[in-house]
Amino acid sequence: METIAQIYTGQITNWKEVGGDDAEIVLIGRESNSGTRDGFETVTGTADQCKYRQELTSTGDVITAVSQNPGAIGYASLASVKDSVKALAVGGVTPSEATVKDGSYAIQRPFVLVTKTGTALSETAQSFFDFVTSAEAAGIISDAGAVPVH
Amino acid sequence: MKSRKRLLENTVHGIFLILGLITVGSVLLITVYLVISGIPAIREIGLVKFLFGKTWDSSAAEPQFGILPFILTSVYGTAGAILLGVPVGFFTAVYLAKAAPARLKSVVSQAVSLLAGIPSVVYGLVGMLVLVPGIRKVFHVADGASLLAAILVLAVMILPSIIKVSVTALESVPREYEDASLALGATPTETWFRVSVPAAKSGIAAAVVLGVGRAIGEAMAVMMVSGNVANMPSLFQSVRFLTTAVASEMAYAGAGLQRQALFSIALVLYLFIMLINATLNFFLKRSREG
Repeated sequence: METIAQIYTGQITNWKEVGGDDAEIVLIGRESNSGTRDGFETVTGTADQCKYRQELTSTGDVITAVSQNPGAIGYASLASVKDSVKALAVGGVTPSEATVKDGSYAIQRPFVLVTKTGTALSETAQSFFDFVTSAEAAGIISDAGAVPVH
Repeated sequence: MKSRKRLLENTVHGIFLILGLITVGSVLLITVYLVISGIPAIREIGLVKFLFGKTWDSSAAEPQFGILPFILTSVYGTAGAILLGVPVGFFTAVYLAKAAPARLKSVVSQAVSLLAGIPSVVYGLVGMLVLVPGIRKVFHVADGASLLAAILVLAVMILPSIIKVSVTALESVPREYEDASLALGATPTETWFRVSVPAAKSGIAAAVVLGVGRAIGEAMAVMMVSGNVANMPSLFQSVRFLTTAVASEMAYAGAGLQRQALFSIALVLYLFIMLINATLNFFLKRSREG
């Protein structure tokens, strides 16, 4: 995790410093205000310090750009990761539904449903809320590649 | 009977007038809207600091809104695309209008039309998958997403407008001019470049304006190949254009200064296009009079 932060803040700029080939590290990230960028920078403690080579506007673009350049590193949701890129293990833990759920994969963030305190939800909203948190929806959530709460 | 005819005539006139006013109205509406929404941020940031500030960091704790990198990138990018695209487009147009055999001409013209019809996101995708890795390998740089990649994509994108408008201009040169030149003993090549091209020069200048307009206004394709980091422009660096600065942050920019600043960037872009149009109109007018 520290290594990742050092890479993104520009303290480590060559893959050989982290045991790779002698090639410049190309940092690929998202545009400012992006939720993914905010999530990544908050977890790694690199907010406003990242020295990006490319700031792309979608997760798909990040994955495509990384897959086209052997020296590139980027971040994307686990749900969007494809075979064209390698998912990094952080602290020896590879990302998967299980390691995200038990918290051992460190770079993760929850999606939250926000409701107003002290006010009962409307019937429709309540039934949506119940459905999203139900076991039935869990299957759909994992199929989409994200990790359900239950 | 006569008054009925006049009524019809007046109605038709009225309808045409309204239709014509739709265009004028749209331009006015956009102008007024851009000015109104673009001014507040410039006021708050300060005109000089906004236009000549070298740092853009809109989401930092202490945001900075300097758009000089975007302005220079747009200027360099457009100039580069024109530098590469105009010679290619111009000679293609001369060849198509004057020298090409009829069958070849129809094939090439169709290819040009097809090029014009390709959506810009496709240019961007091809650029991302072919051009960006290509630049990385050919020039041995760490990453190919750069000003150069954007210039190459833009140069290809402006070809159709340059070629089509120039061909039309060259074809409308009166036959007699060329016949006279040939009769005086000039070779066909001399005739094209000494007679046809000067006679069509205002049309060719118009083609270049269209090219400049398309290049400076393009966002999608450029966004996918230029890397989008707000650096001061350099050929192999990741850069952000005026257009992409607006497009890439608009999606998440909430209310407040950041959003207003994006409108201000749009306003600057708009003024640029006005300026380019005015300058070239001036040259066109002079070339017609001269």
